[in-house]
Amino acid sequence: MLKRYRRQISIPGWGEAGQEKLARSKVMVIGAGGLGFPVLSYLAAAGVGEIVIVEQDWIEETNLNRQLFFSTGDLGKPKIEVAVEKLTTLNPQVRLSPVAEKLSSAVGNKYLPAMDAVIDCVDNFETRLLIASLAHRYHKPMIHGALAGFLGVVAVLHSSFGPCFHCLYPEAPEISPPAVFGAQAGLVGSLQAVETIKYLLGIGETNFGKMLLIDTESGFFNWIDITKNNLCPNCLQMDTTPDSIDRPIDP
Amino acid sequence: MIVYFQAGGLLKDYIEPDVDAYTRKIELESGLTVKEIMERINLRPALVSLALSGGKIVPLSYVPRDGEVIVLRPPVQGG
Repeated sequence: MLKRYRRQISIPGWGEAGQEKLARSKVMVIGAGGLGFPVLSYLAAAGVGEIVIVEQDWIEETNLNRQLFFSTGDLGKPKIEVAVEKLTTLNPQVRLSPVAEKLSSAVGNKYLPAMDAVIDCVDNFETRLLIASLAHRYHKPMIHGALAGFLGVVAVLHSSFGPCFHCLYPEAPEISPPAVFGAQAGLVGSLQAVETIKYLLGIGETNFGKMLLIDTESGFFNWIDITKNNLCPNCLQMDTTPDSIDRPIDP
Repeated sequence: MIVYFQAGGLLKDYIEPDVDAYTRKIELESGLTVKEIMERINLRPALVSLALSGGKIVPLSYVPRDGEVIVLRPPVQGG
């Protein structure tokens, strides 16, 4: 069982104990597209025990420049179906739980309490704000990633230890769908996978309260400090998920 | 005084760089906030999600010093 992980077990601080820890880990990945492809691929290849995948879209031709799970022959198929098939082939030891629905509070309430982390691989602010509310409700880290052209962002957010996504963006800004390309999505998603694995293993800096800003056009890579917004409704313990009325904040 | 605005992505087109491909030199009176300087060059604040000085986030109410470089970042949402 451990042979396939031999090259990573030899990393200082990882070891067989770390590999067993990964095998016991559970993560929820929201989105199986441009960011979801590298995140899911690397987490499955590394041997994360269980991955809940939330994705409701169908494969379109415009996905094919960056969503490398999918080929021309897959057009029109459900993304989650093809992604699960590819990931199962990649590493049959990983338990995959596909959820072919749009993320909602109900989906989050069902799966997130048992998870160790939630990884944001979506393409819009509205869903990210919902992920952040759910992550806050269940005290889970949200590994955030996003891109636009040559720009990228990665952040490990945990409202118990630093700012949450709502602190940074109280409201969804009005912007049009960004231009995106595969290598940049691969870069940002790979960094999200790295930060997730570091968090699950407890290796190195968790980077809570930091955000990596990337501009690959100019070569700008910079971790910056980010701080809690004292007026953030999420961090002030107000449940900001849409169906939060009469629902306790803690599970 | 002089303030430099630096931006990547689509924001470059809005700041109209003149120092290099990413940087605009702006000559103006002192005491203006980042937001006021943005308005001076017809850059809508809604296009900017973060302003940075020296690698740290500053609010749009921040008043830059002479010669300071302010890095502007647009919202990034793709996935």
